[in-house]
Amino acid sequence: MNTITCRRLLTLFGIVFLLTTCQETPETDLTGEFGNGTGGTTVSETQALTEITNTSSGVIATYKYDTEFFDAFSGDDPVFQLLSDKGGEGISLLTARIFGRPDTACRYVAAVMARDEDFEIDLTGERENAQGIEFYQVELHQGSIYRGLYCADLKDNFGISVSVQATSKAMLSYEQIYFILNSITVL
Amino acid sequence: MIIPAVASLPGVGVFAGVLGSFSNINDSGIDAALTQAETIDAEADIHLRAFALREIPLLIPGLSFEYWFGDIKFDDYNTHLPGRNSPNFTIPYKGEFDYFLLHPTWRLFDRRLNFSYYLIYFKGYSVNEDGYEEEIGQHSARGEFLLDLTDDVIDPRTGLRFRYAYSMEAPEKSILGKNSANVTDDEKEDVTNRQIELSLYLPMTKQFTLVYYHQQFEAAGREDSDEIVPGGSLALRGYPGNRWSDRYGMTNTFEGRYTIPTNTELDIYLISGMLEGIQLAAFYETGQVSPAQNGDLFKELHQSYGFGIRALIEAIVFRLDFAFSDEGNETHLTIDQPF
Repeated sequence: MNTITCRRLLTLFGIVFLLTTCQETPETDLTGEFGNGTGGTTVSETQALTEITNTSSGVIATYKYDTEFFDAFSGDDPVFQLLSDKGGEGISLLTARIFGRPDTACRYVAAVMARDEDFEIDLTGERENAQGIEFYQVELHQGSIYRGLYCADLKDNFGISVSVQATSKAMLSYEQIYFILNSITVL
Repeated sequence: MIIPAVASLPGVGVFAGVLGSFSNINDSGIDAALTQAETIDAEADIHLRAFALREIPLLIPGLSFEYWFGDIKFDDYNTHLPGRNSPNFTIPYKGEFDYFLLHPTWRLFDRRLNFSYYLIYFKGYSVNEDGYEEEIGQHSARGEFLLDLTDDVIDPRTGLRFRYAYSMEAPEKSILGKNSANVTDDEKEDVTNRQIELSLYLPMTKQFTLVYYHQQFEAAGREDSDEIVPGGSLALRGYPGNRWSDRYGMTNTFEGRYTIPTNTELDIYLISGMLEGIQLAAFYETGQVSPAQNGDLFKELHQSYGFGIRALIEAIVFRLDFAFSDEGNETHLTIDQPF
């Protein structure tokens, strides 16, 4: 085999290698602003403000929810809050403090749910709320259980994860949910 | 020799950088290698600096050791969850760590019998319960026994090779570093990994060799944990590296290698040396992982197949493999035969 043939062969495989390896980054299914949501009960003027703290109890962010629609259950830990709809429609929402990359937190939880609880991952998104905070979003379902996961970096490596559970896909887009997501504000 | 180099490692990324290699420094028998590389594809964002000293002779004949240092920073490293039911959904991580390795090897009977000890010290960062990064240092160790009854170490055409590797209790401190006090109890808890690999090289004709490769691994310890404790990962080229891992696992591969002898002096694109042959390969692989050692290891097998071309340049095999699976295709550009 002479040098010219070797060179042609190497060039050919170089081209094939570049064509097969240089792939584009996988794109998310949803991008852009959250918007106001659609359907469900309209948000009332009766709202509560919740503070999100860092580990030194310093307030780093806040969010609001409609107290006519949601009951709130908080444990001893001020970071976690569970909201459950009063009317028994089947919407609940859990907020938690997270550390580090928000897409790591959301994708990890989604992957564990898919592996251990047989959830199907329906879509992923990179969204922005009304305050300009960037969120990573994953939607999943298992039978008639629908979950929306939203994770954002807030301040100083602290972030928030919002996990929404509903009994239909449409309920994940209700105005009540997007009102809470849009109200998250970094102080 | 310092050359630009490209490598494609599925599940990690496509790297470009420089590779330096220095053989038999000052007639001491010691080899050195260094690299600085970065990922160039959109799949990952990894920066790597590594340095190695190899074949450092010790007093006893056949006994030598190697030392590796690596400084690795990844701003975007995507990996899969462990587990038999792991979804095809990657999780991105960022981090930075230093990697130190001491690896003495005792080679007997013309390298046919090898005993190795690997001492690894990992120094990186971990997020503590307050959400702040803190330095973490930890040792790990493993032993390895290799029986090589093949006709060639680099590109075997006939014979068999058997490797048994097992994790060992690591010291709290060594010349590489000291374990940090913040290693959690879970991380300290003993897990013993064992892995066997068997490669059979069957010459069908003068130029064609059929290779059978079998890999099996297991982990013992932390049986009560809710976490999956991986014993290793399947060697399936059609999937990203570490795609399938669990407590138990098994891979079986058949690969045909057809070698076209060339014996041509090569001096192109900074590659110089004797091109001894061009090898064409085709392979088919199956494997499965399981949390228990039972018949599940033989059910719903993952399958991977593909083809490759290898350039046999003196003591180096340059390998380009294209592999396919139900989750897509993967390209391997690296050195050395897969087994």
